[in-house]
Amino acid sequence: MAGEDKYRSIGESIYDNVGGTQNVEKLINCMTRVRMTIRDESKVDVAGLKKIPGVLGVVQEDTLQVVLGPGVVSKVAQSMVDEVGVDLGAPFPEGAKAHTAKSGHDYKSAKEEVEAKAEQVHSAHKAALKQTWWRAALKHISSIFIPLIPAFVGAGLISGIAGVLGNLQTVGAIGAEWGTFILTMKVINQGLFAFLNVYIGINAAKEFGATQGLGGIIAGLIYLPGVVAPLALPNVFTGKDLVAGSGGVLGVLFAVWIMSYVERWFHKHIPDSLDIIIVPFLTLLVMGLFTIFLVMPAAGWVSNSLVGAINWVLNVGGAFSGFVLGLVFLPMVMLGLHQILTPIHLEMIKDLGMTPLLPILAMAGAGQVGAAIALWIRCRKNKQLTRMIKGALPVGILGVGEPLIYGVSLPLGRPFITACIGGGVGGAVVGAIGGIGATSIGPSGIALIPLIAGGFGKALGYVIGLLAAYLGGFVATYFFGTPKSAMVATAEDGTILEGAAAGTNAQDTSTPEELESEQEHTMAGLNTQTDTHTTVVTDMVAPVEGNLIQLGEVDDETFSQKLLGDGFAVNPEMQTVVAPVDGKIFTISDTKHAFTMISDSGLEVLVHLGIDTVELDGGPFSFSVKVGQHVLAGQQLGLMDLEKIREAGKKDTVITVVTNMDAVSSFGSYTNQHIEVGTKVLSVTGKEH
Amino acid sequence: MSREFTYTITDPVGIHARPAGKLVKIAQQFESDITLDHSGSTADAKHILGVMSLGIGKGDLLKVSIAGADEDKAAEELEAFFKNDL
Repeated sequence: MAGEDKYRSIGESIYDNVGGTQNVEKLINCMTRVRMTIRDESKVDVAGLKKIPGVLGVVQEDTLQVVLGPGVVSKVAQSMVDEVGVDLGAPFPEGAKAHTAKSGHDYKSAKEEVEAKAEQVHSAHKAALKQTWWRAALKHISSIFIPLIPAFVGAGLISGIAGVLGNLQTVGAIGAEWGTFILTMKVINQGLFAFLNVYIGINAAKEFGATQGLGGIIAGLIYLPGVVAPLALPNVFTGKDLVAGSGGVLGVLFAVWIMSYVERWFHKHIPDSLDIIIVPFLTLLVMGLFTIFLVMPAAGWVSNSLVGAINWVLNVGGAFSGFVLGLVFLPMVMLGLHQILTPIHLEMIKDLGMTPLLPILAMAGAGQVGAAIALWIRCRKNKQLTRMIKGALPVGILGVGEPLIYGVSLPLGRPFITACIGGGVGGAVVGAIGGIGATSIGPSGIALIPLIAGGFGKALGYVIGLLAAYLGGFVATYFFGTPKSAMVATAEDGTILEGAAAGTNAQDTSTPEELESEQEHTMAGLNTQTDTHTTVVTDMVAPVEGNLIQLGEVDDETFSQKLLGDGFAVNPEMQTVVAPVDGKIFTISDTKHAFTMISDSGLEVLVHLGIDTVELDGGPFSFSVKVGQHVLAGQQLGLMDLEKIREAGKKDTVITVVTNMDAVSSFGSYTNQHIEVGTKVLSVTGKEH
Repeated sequence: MSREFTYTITDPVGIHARPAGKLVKIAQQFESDITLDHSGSTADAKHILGVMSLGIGKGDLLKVSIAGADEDKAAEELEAFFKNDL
């Protein structure tokens, strides 16, 4: 198949599983993921997305993120927007060419239907997200910086070349005639960093719905153009001269955010006939004064303190700080929290000329590499897994870790943890050596070596850190992180035993006896589906986002003593309720406080929304699905109003139990931890039949 | 031979998940077939999803039919459970 056809077919499969092009509001890609803003989330088929060949994982946050890996992602994203005829990041026309309108549906009514539904679900979703303002903030930050990533990578590498040549010149390896070339490279690099605020200001204005040109001006004036000694503007807090560039990236983000409200307010209150002249004038006047005299000194103080604090932690904490940062970085990436670090890196580059944080965080990806090598050796019979590792390892070494995380270590569970430990080891080494920083942000891994500031010695320190992280991840995974189930032999094309399938896409929940019997079968060459094993493994996902607790801790004897069956409980933090399994909605009680499902695999599942909530007579609950409807695990079913439940003095614990335990041979376990809605909690293995 | 009794639900919230669970637990202790009849729709009392699908509320009349070796004992215990709990 020609390459382009492959990308187009991946794109079309993605559209098929998100409710068609008309259900997408806009689409953009980052290094590894296609990020889509979805109109009606109930139309998204996460399980279907995960089954598309080439899709490494799916993350549902404020945007729907389909992980495809570097290279592939930009081609697929481009083909997807080409199909609709818009640019990356631009809004899709409403009711765009109805890609999935295969049935002879009346075009208009389908369009109206999706719009009405989108409006309804969108507002419901907004309500559900109310409590987490930081989610919205993170989404804004990533939307602002993602379009700049190619600029950082390109300018960063050019600065790397200039740095290496400069060092060679200093030690006399190359002559003075290289000076012009080095200077030229520096000029190109400064094309980014000298005006970085402006680019960020323009993107921020776009993201916050303000006029992009005005955002650029507000960001640009932070450089105080034209203010050269002896001219000066005062810092109104300290009375000293205001330093050009104070507040930096943080100041830009804040000022442009405020500006978006100010501009909107003027638009609303100025008559249309004067709007085009008066609004930009007043917006710039108000925001210019506000930015120069309040934002710059205040954000400058905040960013100096922040940079100082991080530096202090690294200097004082050394190896220990490095270990902790290297360890927790990947879990942060999974929650999307790493986006918050981008402005901090840029502030540190501005103030210190480098970010000491980035080399330490880069160790997290290196830990994944070590873990993958260990898995390759220990699970070499598992052809499906080794094929994935072969594909993901080279880019992992180069510094793009997501294929390894989402394709290899995370689905297996334990190796993800041991890989993080490897990252911690590398971070400790870099922290202990100290003074290692990067001059730009970009990929990590060996691709970061040219960006390490301070010459060969520092770059060598970084390489030693990388090797330590490889080794740490390898050793921890080899000895402690290899699930037995993943060691089972499987065919490359995925025709594998059910038990082994559970091993490659789930945590190890099989009993030792089962594993042994599977291994015997395998060794006897019975590695096909004609095997007598017909057990079915069902993955159960969290119906709500919140904190998992053991069933025994639930404040209701019926559930805590497992009278109705085994399962799990979540103390919810969000209102969205999704299906815990693939299957049919069997009942929704009149008071809407509980529903039951029959899974495709034959499990009978009861989900109870809160304790004693039957007495609330349906008030806090709403369902958008009907009895008899088939739904997929993770698909939205309805909402529960947590505040109303709490106000009524009831507990909002959501309990999910399997009520036909006689059909179950083994029930997975889980640990008490925070869990995102729709992510896997445990697996249930059915009895053979 | 089989046993049968009727009962009018007095619990203000009817047979929701938890009482349904208790009922099923009791029914499962017996060999006899136990059927609930709620104005024409029937369900196996040993099967929680079936019981819940009846949607039994306060004031509803429920007919319980029991047939099998231990039907007498089952009828006695179930009737006591209904009176005390429902």
